[in-house]
Amino acid sequence: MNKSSDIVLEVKDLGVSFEDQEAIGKIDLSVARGEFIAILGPSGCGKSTLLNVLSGLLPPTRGTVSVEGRRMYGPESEAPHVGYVFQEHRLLPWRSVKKNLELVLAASSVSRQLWDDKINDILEILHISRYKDSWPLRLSGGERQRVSIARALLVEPSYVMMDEPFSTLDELTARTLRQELIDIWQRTGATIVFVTHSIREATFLADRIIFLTRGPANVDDSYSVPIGRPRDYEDPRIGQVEAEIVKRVLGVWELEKT
Amino acid sequence: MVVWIILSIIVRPWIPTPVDTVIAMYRALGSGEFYQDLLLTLWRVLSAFAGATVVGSVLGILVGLSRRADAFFRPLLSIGLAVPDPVYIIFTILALGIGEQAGFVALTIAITPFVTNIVRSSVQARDLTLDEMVQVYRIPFWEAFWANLVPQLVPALLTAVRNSFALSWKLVVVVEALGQPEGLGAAIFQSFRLLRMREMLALAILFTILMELIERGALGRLERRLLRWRA
Ligand SMILES: Nc1ncnc2c1ncn2[C@@H]1O[C@H](COP(=O)(O)OP(=O)(O)OP(=O)(O)O)[C@@H](O)[C@H]1O
Ligand SMILES: [Mg+2]
Repeated sequence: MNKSSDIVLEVKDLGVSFEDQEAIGKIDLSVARGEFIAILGPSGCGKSTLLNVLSGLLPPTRGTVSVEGRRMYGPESEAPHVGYVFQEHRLLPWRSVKKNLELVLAASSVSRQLWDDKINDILEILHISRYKDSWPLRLSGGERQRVSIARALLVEPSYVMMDEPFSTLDELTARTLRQELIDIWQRTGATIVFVTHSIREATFLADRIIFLTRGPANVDDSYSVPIGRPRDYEDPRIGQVEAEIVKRVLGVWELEKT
Repeated sequence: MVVWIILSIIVRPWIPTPVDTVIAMYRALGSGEFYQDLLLTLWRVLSAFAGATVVGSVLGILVGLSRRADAFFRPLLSIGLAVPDPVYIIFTILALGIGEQAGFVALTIAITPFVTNIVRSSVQARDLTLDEMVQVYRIPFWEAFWANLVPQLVPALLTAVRNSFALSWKLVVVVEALGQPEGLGAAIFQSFRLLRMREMLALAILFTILMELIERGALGRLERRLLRWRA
């Protein structure tokens, strides 16, 4: 259990600007292996932009991103393997669930003999084995998001990013999936960077919460959630922590406006 | 039908009655010449249609993906679309003579801009969020091309295929009438010159029916198969 010394993701002095508009001011961040961190910030502060940088889609204007000790976006540096659960499922609707998973496996470093077992295992864990050969559009929103989570975990990623993955689901489905996400995270030991603007969701899920200021984002604070696991979504302690966070965050988010 | 019967009575020698036409159709179906012409024409339709579909798809994808190709081809494309088809046909025949290639080239050139245009706009309207997904998971270019881009173009390609097929079988008649000694279009034109209206109409109707059958049957089936993933 030497977590703190095993840093998977390190972001230093990160800045992103679009043309003349600044989207990210300055972000420093480091994530340990197996950690579940939530990134919390008001709408439009640059959360998705941050994930785009971390996923290899968007070279930053300033600063560095290192994954497992290697520079991302450096000259001749290879992009790391990462998983990304988008707000929408982003499955290819003309491929069955299995074929969608095989597509990303083919581009990963997982050897072909292991594919079938890995696919069966992950679908089993996510309770969607029976949809293995279904078309994605035949599934419900929650089931599609499960497939999307399966896809992200399958590629043996350095870390998995999630951008408000449950925000389009109904509350009951979202709750079930949050609970299951925690179970899967504990079973697989994955490192997760979870973006949300729901304080309760962040409190329930994360080891640590990173607060971003109103855009252009700066890291305002990092906060370790002082509640042991397993947690209960209705636990009054979560309510307390939530109220506490609301108090300190609202000050910053509101004040920044003026 | 009623209009036809009335017209055939009024404009007597020039518009044949339905009965006469059916008899002529029957006779045509019994003659070997008809099948020879038909086969030749069918071959021309299919080869020009295939040529235009392939060339148009490739061009359309290129223009849709690359801004530079778009800047270069866009003006050509709008000219290509604006020129009336018979003009192409006449010019190609003038340029290449009335050989077998001339017909093929003329048809292909006339149809390609349509296909290119449909494919281009579909490429540009593709789902960019899927492009991001493909990039995050580091899917290699050609893999992503076949797994992500091409399936998104299927509806447009089917439309293009439909249109280019319909266009090519209509234009082939013109091409053959203008520049080819054999084929169904030539036969129709021949009947026209000899004022054999019955035969002309019979051939035209038979040809139309056949093409409609191909279009509905083969293309319809293809469409159902390719789009079966839709919820
Ligand atoms: N490609 C782009 N070009 C120009 N500006 C952009 C681009 N992408 C994002 N922005 C701007 O950057 C800022 C941050 O956007 P971003 O999508 O990262 O916010 P967010 O925190 O994810 O918001 P939300 O909570 O609503 O999802 C916004 O002001 C947005 O308009
Ligand atoms: Mg966002």
